[in-house]
Amino acid sequence: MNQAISEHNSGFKSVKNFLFKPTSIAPLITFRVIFGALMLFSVTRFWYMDWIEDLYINPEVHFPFFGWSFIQALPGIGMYLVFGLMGLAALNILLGLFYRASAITYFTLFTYVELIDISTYLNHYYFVSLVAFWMIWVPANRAWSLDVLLKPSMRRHEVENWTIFIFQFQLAIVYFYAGLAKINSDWLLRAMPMSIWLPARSNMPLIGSFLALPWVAFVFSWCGLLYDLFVPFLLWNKRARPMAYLAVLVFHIFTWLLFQIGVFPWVMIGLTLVFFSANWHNRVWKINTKVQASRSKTNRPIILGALVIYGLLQLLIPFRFALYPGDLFWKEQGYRFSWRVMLMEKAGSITFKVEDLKTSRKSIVDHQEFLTPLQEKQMSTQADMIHMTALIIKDRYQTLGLDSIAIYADSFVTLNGSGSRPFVKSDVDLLSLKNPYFDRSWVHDWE
Amino acid sequence: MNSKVSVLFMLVLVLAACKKPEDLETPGDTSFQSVLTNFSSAIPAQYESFAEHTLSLKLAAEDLRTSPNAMSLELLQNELFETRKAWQWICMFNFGPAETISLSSINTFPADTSAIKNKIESGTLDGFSPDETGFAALDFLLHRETAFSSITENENAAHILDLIVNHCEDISNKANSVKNEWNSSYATNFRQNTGAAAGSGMSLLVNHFVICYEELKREKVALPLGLLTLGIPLVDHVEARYGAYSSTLALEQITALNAVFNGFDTAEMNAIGLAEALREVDARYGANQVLLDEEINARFSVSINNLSQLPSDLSTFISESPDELESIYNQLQSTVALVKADMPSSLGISITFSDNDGD
Repeated sequence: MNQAISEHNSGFKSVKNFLFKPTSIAPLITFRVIFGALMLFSVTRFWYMDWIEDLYINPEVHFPFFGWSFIQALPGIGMYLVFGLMGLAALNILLGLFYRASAITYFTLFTYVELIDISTYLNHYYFVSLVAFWMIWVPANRAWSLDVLLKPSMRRHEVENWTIFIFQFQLAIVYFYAGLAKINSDWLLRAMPMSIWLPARSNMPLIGSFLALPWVAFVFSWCGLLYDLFVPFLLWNKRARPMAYLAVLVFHIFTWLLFQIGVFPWVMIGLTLVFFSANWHNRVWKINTKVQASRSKTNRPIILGALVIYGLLQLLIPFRFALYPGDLFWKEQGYRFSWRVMLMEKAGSITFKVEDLKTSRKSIVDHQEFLTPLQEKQMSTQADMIHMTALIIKDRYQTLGLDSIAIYADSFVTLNGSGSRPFVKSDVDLLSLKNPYFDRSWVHDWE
Repeated sequence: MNSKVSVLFMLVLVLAACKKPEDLETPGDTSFQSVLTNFSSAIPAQYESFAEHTLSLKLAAEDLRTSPNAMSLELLQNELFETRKAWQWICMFNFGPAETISLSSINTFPADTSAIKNKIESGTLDGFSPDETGFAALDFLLHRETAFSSITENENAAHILDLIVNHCEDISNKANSVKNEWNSSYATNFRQNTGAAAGSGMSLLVNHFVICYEELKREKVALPLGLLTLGIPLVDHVEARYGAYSSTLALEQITALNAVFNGFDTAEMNAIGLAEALREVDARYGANQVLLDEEINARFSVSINNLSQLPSDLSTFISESPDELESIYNQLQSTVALVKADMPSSLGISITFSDNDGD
């Protein structure tokens, strides 16, 4: 009994030792600089592509996340101010100037923007939000920063290990769960959706002509699976690391060339450097941890508690789909925030019909009048967005003086080459649903 | 152990990447290329033909102004009819040069007839909004009951004739400008813009094909029939209200869409269209796994047949047999999922530009 407790204690102690042991600040500096630079680039690119206008200013309506409908886009030049501030915050993170305030600003604004509209949701953005959150709490400005230049007494050579481990952990979660999600029959046995996507890219120079070959989709699918599942562990392994990083480079450059995924490949290529040894980073930043510099005091119990809770949440959230009945890819309950990337070629077509319950008159709704092409595309395959559209239509009819209506949807969805099938049950009044988010019996079952 | 695994799959990746393209069979890889090659000559040919019609239209308008009489009016009416038919063969190519100059604004309907009357009263030749000019305005000016008297006896006759010539000139200029752009450089850009990304030739072609199909169903049938307005018909919203040949134009449009789907199935062209691209990837549909292109063609045939049964004037037909037109609409609607969801999805085509993470 006593022995068990002491073993338990020693396990706990070694976890604590691992998390709080001093280590060089250098990996954190690399991480900060790369993160700041990429986020600055990303904001600039977003602005340059006119996406602030297209995604947040022009749309008449937005699709809020469940429980977050109080988040609204700002009117006028508001969204430009948000992105301007975000760019400034990213620059300051890069330079290490007013670091803590900048990290808080960046996390808050970025997360705010992501919460405005589901149709812009990307796992990559969720990842950026999580990383930005942890950037607030780590002392990434204690060397090679303007903050230190202004106040030299802040300088540190060493930080607690968790401040670096948390980012390794987060990256490992992204890869590993992306790998787990690929263990399904479509991916492994039908090479879907690669079998659709790769032939469509056969215009690529050099490798184009072989992308159309059926076996190549299988090679990509299986290599992608193995890569995602194993690469974090190989990056942690000192001997395997150079090879693993080469794989990181090859994998992400391939995805960058083949798919429309923006800066994400460069984010992963840059941030996975955090797996490299302290010595490697020390050489980059010419940091000598043998030179004494004062240590900061931290509140260990709180940090430990936060890390444990966060770690458990990250491990469990991707499995919440198991709480729902029905096919995950079809009904998408528990699909988001789970690192499910590149898994589906899904497209739909939907027509809403309104019935005025007082006169029994019926009408088709032209939803393209108030939805952008992106919103329409996302909405037509995602049940929660279809229901939200019905609510938007209800509001619009209410302003026309029709307050007693029913809304039906005729919808078809094709998933990984299945051919389009009826999606929402067309005889269900979408406005009559009591609990549309959790109870998806109003959507046809898959198969 | 770990490093062995990594070496293994790295090796597969590298091997795959290094294999020489010439050594391999290349099924499918040229399909979009040949579709683009076909359309890069077929689309300019359509614009060429449309521009010729608009030139005849302009000349006929000038003849009418020189000698306004029943015969010259009828000639211009005929040219308008032919030009509007030719329009149906280019309206699905509303990208590139056509989009830049908003060519589609010339077919804004219905016309704002009271605004047009005001413009006539005021004697101005400038400041026309799209619903006061273009085909629908000409339709009103040339086919309304008082069309003949308005250009012969009316006190504003000279001004009305000037308006007619101006509108025709405007249409002709726009048509020429788009035609010239295609001929000078856009056709080459289009042909070389391979792949399936947003903005690629194939993405533009498919996306605008779908938009055009949806417009046919919505603007030309559903809207006048009242399907968007709680069953209250808007008979004035048909495409050629005064010329009374709306259903002829709808039939022409779906015939054109079907031809585009099959790559313009005429003797002198190779007929490599969207259907061929779908066959290339073996796109299937439904429980019986029929070929998607055959299913789409079958449904188009039914719709073509349905529309060809209609009297040419849709407004009267709407008042007389709305149910019959609604069943024609339902048939048109049944094809939407196939062209809008199945077709782009089977071809792996992106429509929107924003980043995705592949879901």
